[in-house]
Amino acid sequence: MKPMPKGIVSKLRQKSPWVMHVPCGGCNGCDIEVVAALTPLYDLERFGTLQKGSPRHADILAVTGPVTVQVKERLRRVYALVPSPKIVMAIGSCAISGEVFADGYAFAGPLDQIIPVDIYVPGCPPRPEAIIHGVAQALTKL
Amino acid sequence: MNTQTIIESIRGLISPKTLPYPRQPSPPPEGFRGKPEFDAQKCVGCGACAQTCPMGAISITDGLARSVRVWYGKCSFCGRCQDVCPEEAVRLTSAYELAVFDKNKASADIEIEFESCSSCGKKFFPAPQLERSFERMKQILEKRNISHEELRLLDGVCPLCRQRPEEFSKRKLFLLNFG
Repeated sequence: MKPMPKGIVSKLRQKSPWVMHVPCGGCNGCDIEVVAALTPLYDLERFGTLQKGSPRHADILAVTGPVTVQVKERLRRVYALVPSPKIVMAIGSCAISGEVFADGYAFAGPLDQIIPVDIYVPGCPPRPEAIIHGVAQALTKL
Repeated sequence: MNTQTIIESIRGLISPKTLPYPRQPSPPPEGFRGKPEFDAQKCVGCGACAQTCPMGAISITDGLARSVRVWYGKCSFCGRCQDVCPEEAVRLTSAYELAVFDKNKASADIEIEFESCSSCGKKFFPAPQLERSFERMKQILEKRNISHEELRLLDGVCPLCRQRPEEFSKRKLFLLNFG
């Protein structure tokens, strides 16, 4: 099969960025807000965003929570499975710095020390609107 | 399916429930704690916010001036800094769109000027805080007939210079007058 021109692919990607949500051991606050952003009230899906269960289908990895020791290697594997160009969103203050969990024994370092991060969305938890704003910012990078 | 569900779904068809967020701004509810911001005019640089911050998101670094910085990447938006600030210089605004490409840019910085020591010229104490403490002592000073400049001469000296013998005698004289 002939590969499609690059401009068309990136344009199509911007029209339908598929998201995979990876919770990495937080308090579940950010996870709830990510799911809320996909529900009909905020409706991230009207921009073509679809939540996917497999990293092979995803363009955007939405990572929440501080990365724990248990999930660290699995997160690396999930990241490797995402076809490039890939975007990693660090959602919530925990993913950015560790926040309250920063001194805990199970804390394996902020997200950007494990996989490269493209966009940071601070908040504890960030509002669904803030997540939508973050996705819109991230799409300019695709 | 009960009747209420049917009524709700018909209502949803007539007027959509989805918020028109990216096209129109969506104001947060009353009492929402958004990003904290410093008022550079009011802040005296006492550091109470940095001391009370449970996350350590507020940092104070002393250089030529005292720089107070809050990093939103570590902030939990609890509002302790707002509660503890004696000058009401920290305020939690209702802004929440904080997405950034560089995590170090998600911060607010202000700089507080230092007071220079009147004998050695070293910068040793935040100037607005010194000014504020003079203001608070105004009544007591008036009662004792002590001029503002007299106290200023004594308090505008850095802790190292205060230990010099000539300063010591001056201080003792002042205290004798005071008591």
